[in-house]
Order: sequence, then C-alpha cells, then structure tokens
Amino acid sequence: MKNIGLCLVFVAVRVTCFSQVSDSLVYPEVIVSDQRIEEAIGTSVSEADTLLYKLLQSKGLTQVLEVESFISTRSYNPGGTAVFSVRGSGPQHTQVVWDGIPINDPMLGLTDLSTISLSGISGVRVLYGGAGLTNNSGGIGGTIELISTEPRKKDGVDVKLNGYAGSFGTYGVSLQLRDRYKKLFGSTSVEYQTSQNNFKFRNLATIAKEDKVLEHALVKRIGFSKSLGVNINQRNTLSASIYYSQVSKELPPSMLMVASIETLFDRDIWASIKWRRIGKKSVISVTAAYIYGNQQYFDNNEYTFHHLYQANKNLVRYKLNLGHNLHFEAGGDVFVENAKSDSSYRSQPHWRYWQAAFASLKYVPKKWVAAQVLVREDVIDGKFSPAQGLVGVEVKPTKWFSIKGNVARNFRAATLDDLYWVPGGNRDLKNETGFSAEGGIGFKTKTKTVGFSFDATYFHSEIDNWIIWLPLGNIWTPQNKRAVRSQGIETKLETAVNIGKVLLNLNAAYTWVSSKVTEGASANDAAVGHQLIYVPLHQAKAHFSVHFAKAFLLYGHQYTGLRYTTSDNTSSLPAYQLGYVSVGYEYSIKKHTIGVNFTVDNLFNTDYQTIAWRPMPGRSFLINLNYQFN
Amino acid sequence: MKKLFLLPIAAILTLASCNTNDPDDPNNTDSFTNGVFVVHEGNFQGGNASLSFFNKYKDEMSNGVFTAVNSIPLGDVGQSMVTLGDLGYIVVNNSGKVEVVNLEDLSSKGTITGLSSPRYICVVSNSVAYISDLYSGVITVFNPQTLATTGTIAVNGQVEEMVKTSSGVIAAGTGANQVYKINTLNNTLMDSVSVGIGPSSVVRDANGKVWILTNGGWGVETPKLVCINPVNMNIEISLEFTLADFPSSLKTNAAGTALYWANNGVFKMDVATPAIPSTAFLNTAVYKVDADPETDIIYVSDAGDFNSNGKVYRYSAAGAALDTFNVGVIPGEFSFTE
Repeated sequence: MKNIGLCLVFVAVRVTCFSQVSDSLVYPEVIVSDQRIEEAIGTSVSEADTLLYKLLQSKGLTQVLEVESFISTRSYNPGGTAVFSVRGSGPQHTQVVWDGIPINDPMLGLTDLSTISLSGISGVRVLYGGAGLTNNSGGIGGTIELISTEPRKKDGVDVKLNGYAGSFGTYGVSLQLRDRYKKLFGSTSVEYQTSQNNFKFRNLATIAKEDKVLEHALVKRIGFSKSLGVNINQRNTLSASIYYSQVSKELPPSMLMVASIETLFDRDIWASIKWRRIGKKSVISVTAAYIYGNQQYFDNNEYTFHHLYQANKNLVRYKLNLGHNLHFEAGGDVFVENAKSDSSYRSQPHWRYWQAAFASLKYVPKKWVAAQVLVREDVIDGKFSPAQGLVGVEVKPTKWFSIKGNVARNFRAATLDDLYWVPGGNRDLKNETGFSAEGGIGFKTKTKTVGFSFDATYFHSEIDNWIIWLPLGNIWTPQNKRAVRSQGIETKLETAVNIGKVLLNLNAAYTWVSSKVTEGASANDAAVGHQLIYVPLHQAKAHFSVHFAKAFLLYGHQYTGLRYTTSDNTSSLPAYQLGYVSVGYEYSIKKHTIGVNFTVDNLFNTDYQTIAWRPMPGRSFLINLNYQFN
Repeated sequence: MKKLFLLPIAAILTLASCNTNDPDDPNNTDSFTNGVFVVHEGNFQGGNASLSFFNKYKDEMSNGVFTAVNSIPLGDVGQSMVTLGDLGYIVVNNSGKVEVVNLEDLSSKGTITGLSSPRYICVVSNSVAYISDLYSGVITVFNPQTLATTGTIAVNGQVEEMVKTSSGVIAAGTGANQVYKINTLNNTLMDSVSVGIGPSSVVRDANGKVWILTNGGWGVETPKLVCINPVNMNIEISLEFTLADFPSSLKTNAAGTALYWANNGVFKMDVATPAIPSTAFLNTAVYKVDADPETDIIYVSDAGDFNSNGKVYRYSAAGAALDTFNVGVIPGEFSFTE
C-alpha cells in the first residue's frame, strides 16, 4: 500500500496496437492518466492506430480523424479549412481539447482542424457523446483529445526525424527530441509542411467538363512545441508546455469561380503550467493555461478581417480513493475569454467569464462490473447552465463479452459571434441542451496467435434550442429555433492473426447516423424530418495490413455515403469510395533506426468532393523517410 | 444495338417538342420572352445558384431552367438579371461573371468574365450597359450586343444598384456612402451626393425623381429613404426609419407612383404622400419584393431557412394573395421580360 501513490502515476490505460472502442474493465484503485482524459464509464472512445497515425501524421489532423474514427470530416481542399461531425451533430457540438484544456475558438465555437499542427501531438482520441463530461462541457457530439508527446521514462535522449515529399508540391520535415536527466524531463518538436495542391481535376461546372489544374491552393504550416518538467519529489511534479501553430492558406476558387485571391492566416498558441501532487490515496492537479488564436483574412483592400481571441483557463482536478471500491473525483474550471474582431464586432472587445464544477463517484465492486455517476454545473457570465450529468455502467459477465451504456445530459453555450456579431448578435440566446443515451456490446477474445474484438454501439441524442442563424427582417440573427434528433449505430471489428513471423491485421468499422431536424424554425421549415447537411447516413472504413519482420504492407478503403447539401435534402453529393495503399520498411542498428514508407492515396483516382464544387485530388504519392535514435 | 444509342436523343427531342404539366420541366414554356425570371442566390460558395421562370401565359413556374437548357450550373450566388431585346443578362456574383442567354430558348449566348464581384446591370442603350461591383473599385462598361467590355468608370468602393434617368445613371455607392451620377455620354462620374450611410437600393418614380434606400451601416445610424432630384442631385425628401429597422429591396409599382420595400414584411408608400408607414402592407415572410411593370402584380420571395428551396408568393396590387410557387434555394431578385 505504501507504493500506491507511485502506482497511481504509472497506471494508465494505453492503446498500443489498435484503434478501439474502449472496453477496459480492469480498473485499478484509481486510474490516473498523466495526460489523457479519463473517459466516463459506459461510454465509447476511439484512438488512432499507432501505425496509421504515423503514416497520416504528416497529412494533418483531418486525415487522421477521417481514417481512424467514426467522425465525418469535410474540407475545402487538402489542408484547407476543415470541419467535422461527430454522431450527427454540428462542428460546434464537439470540443477539442489539448491535454484536457478546451481550445475551441470561442468566437466560432469550433476548431478548424486544418489549423492544428501535429507537431508535439503524439496521439488523438475521440470521446463520443458524454464520454468527455469527466473533463469538459460543450461536447454534445463528443470530445476530440489531442495528446502531447509523453516524456521519456528513463534518463537519456531520443530523437525522431521525419522528412517526406509527395505529389502536388508536397514536402515537409519534422523533428522531435525528448530528454530526461534525473528529475528533469522535456521534449521539443518542430514541423514544417507545404503543399501547392496544384492537382488536376475535372471541372463539372463547364459544358466540356474539361480538366483543370487547381490554382491558388498553397498551404504552409509551421508547428513548434516545447515542454519542460521536473519531478520535484516522489509526489510532486511541475511541468510547462507551449504549443505554436501557424498556417498560411491560399483559398482556391470553387469549380464555379474563375479565380480567387483570398488568403487566410491562422496562428494558435497554447501554453500551460501544471502542478500535480500524488498523495497516498489521492491525486490533485492544477493547470493554468493561456490560449491565443489569431485569424487574418485577406481578399483585397476593401474586404479583410482580423479576429483575435485570448483565454485564460484554469483547471483543478482532484481524485480520491475512498476505499470500498469507491472512487471520488471533483474538478473546477475558471475561464476568462476575450475576443476582438474588426469585422464581426467592429473592433469592440468582448469578454466572457466561465466557471464550472463537477463531481463524480465511481463504484467498482467487482472486476466484472463498474458504474459511475457524475454531475456538473457551469456558470457563464453569472448565469447557470442547464444541469449536466451522466450515469454509466459497464458489465463484463464473461471474459469475452461485455455490455455498457450511459445516459448523459450536456449543453452548449452560444458562441461569442452568436452573442455579439454586429449586426444581429443575440444576447438573449439560450444554451443548447443535449440529452444522449447509448448502449453497446463487445466481444473480445485472444489466444497466442489470434486476437479478435467486435463492438457495436447504438446511440440516441436530442438537441434542443439548436441555434440557427436566420434573417429577422433583413438582418441575420441567431435564434434558438430548431431541435435535432440523432441516432445511429457504430460497429467496429478488429482482428490480428500471427502466422509464424507474419502478423495480419484487419480493422473495419461501419457507421449509420440518422440526424434529423424534429422542430423547425417556422411552421413551414422545409428542414423538418430531413437529414442534416453533410452528415452521411452510411460510412464504412477498413484497413488490412501484413507485417513481416520490420516490413509492412497496408491497404485501406473508405466508403462515404451520399451527403445532402440543402436542408430540405433536395440536393446532394454522391457517395464515393477511396482506396489507399502503403508499404514500409524499418532497419535498425543498435540505437539507430531508419525507416521508409511509400503511400499511394486515392488509388483508384476517384473524382469526389467533400464540399460541393470543391474538387479533391486524384491519385497521389508520398514517400516518407524517418530516422530514430533511442 | 447501335440504334439503342439513338433512343436517348429521340427521347430528348420528344420531350422538347411537347408541353407537360411538370413545373420543373423547362420545356413546358413556349419561350422565355413573356414572363418573370426569379434569380436564386443559392448559398455563398455553395454553387447552387439557379434560375426559375414564371410563364405568364400558363401561370406556371419552371425551376432550374438555366441548367436544364445549358447543362451546367448557373454558378455561385445568382445576384440579379436584366433583359434587353432577345437577350437576358444574369449576374452571378461570386463566380465573377455575367451569363448571357437567348430568351427564345435560354441557350447560352456567351459569358462576360473577368469581373470581381458583380452585382447589378443598368442598361443605358442598345450598345452600352454598366455592371456594378463590390470590390473592383470600378463600374464596368460593356456592349450588351457584342458582350465586349468597353471601359470602366472608377468609383470609390462598393457600388450596388443603379437606375437610368434622363440626366444620367444614378448609382448607389454603398462603400463610400455616396450616390453617384454618371454621364452616359462619356461614361464618367459627373456628380455625387451623400444621403446617409450605406445607400444600396435605387429606383426612379413617376416624376423622374430617384429614391434611395440606405442600410444605415447595419446599425450604425438609422436607415433612410431619400428622394433626390437627379438633375441637380439635390436632396428633396429624407425619411428616417428606426435603428430596429433594416429595410431593403426598394422597388416601384408599375406606374412609379408607389414604393415597395422589404422590412420584416412588405411595406408600401405613395410617393405623393411620403411618410414611412408604421404597418406592413403585406404581412409575409419576405426576402425580396418587386412589382410587375405590366400587370402591377407583386412578387415576393421567401428564402425560408436560406438552405432549402424557397417560395415565391404573388399578390394583387391591392394586396390580395394570388398564388404560391415552390422555387429554388434563396430566391432573390426578379426580372420581368419586356
């Protein structure tokens, strides 16, 4: 028992091989993950596969999520502005967090995935539905968690150097360095990436449907991150991190535009200082963070805008092992957000003061069952949010079978644009409220040579007071006018077979999401009863890989179903399928490892669009060289 | 087997030669020379601008007629349309172009490209027309017969609607908060007047006076309805709305004796008794309003949630509801054939 504190530090749920829906029922006395959110019991989580994450890291967060989760993403062009939908919700219904700190743009209420450099980000998880309520509110659809590079466990230095080049003027380089010396540890990451995106596409908007080369689509990304930490003693750790990302984008014309001269520049800085103390039966952590976002749009001298937001976010988390299989957790947030925009708010700064508190109790009487009750309340500018909470249960009656489920209530606050946009901002907006329920089953078995798991989850959510911008007279203003019901099924199959020195992996996932407007903005609202735009009813993803010694061959395939582009579902984009193949090899001498992999994307040269009239590239190639020193 | 390939062609020819009752079939109109075009903006960057045509002979609305005839999308943000003789000129704002069509069959006559952010066309004569623009800083001069650009008129900032008068073209200089007067003999600016922030909509009344609607900078000051004498550019009447008002889409009735505008309902004011009415003439959802210069029937577009197909309502000049038509996404300006 004396060492229980140390155990708390090192016991962490880690996913090593597969992306997976969490089904772990092996609960230690208190689970403390150094950097990860501990998802609520009875909920679903997926995480990027280690191999795929490595392959996709250079392509950015949009690609990682597209391939490795139940998320539906859409972007204007590769590397261009990208948003997403989790479980049929809107992009504003998912919180993106960096080491537990919410980083959504408070003006828009969302995160543009293309602005995030994965430099210093070692993993990405998606916590579905109420899973993230243990950390943050606002994630009615879910929470996307960016996990910083973990510190070295032992003294020494390790280095990762990665360089790549590919079609359409794509090349980049990244470097990661980690070091530890006794009580001191740290990491440094840098990344530079650029792509001309000058691919050929068929212009469907012209009579001749002639081929054309996409112009004005250059994307340049620079990323930097640095973390430092010290283990003050066995119980206390102090760490500091800073993350910097800068993305310059030319905004290409759509098929219906002759040309474009628009550019967009994004700069994000996230910084945090964290103190953590591990007691005999408890863990407390205090985090103070600074979030900065700057967006500059240039069209010509007449129409440019400049958005700037800053936030101070302070989080306290406390975990206590009560004994008798009971685990208590409580937390509090104090956020101050500030935003200024010359166009949206006519340079008038706006502030928002946000406090939150939550408490959770887990009961784990036996290894085959676990349950959790959580309550949470947020106070925004002195107004209480709707009460939030979650009740979750997981049962594992046999080694190979498990059942789980939860019901949760969440909310989303209006964005600063919703409140203060000039003209039309509506300070009387109510919060959106979300109720969700899910239930799932899991089968899992493992022998010396075969691993198999299958998970199926049904979810149902209702979002009321959905905020929609509509003209009131001739001014657009946000109003709480709609209600949306989403339901769906997520299934995932994972298999691994060892045949001698050969390892075969097959991962496949299928998602069905029905997300429909149930209450309209008016009596004649044509959206009622129809699927939300850009939410595909069907999505399927699979990848198969063969590993022999240090070589691998991977084939992946994606199917994205028809997506409606108007709210009355009278217009749509057709379904499409994409295939990709990758082959790689690593060679090691002592502490040095050199690797190379070659990837062909869009293998079958499919014409497709994720946003109407925005062409996506055909077949493309990428070669990646990497070096590691351990 | 080779004859099978002829079947689709035969089917098209058959469809083209007969009239159906399908309102979505553009072939159910004899021509596009006697009716009302509805220009649909579609969603910004959504590429779903479209054109509908209301056939006055048949009282039928046909949707998506440009694409049905020409097999290409109209473009991104259909802004406005004018007709001149046998030709129609459709301004497609975010595609930076003007699509020109033959009104007999709506086939493409050509495209005027190279524009920045075109908004409205004002026909000066058979050989001269102007295109206003939001961002280019010029009014483009072109020949509506040859479609050749013949010059530009430098202006300060955004320009929206324009109207021809006997003494020149009056243009709403929204960006510079100026109302410009253009000499149509040499296509140059000859005068300007400040009437308030954000002049955007202009019409000429039965007396030859020009009425200008300002947007007040969307909340910066109260919007205004201003009457100027286009000859000397003097302000003769200036009426103020309230800060809660956001009027737009200023139009006249057929005789030019009354003004209509949209402001959370359709408002009407007789030019002989100028005063902002306190109640709407038509209590209806409205995005744009216009009146048929031939019949005086009032056309109202309703864009719904601005992301689905909208509606067009028709009212008699007295305000009696006549009929309703389902149209495309974000129905905006109307264009009446001559």
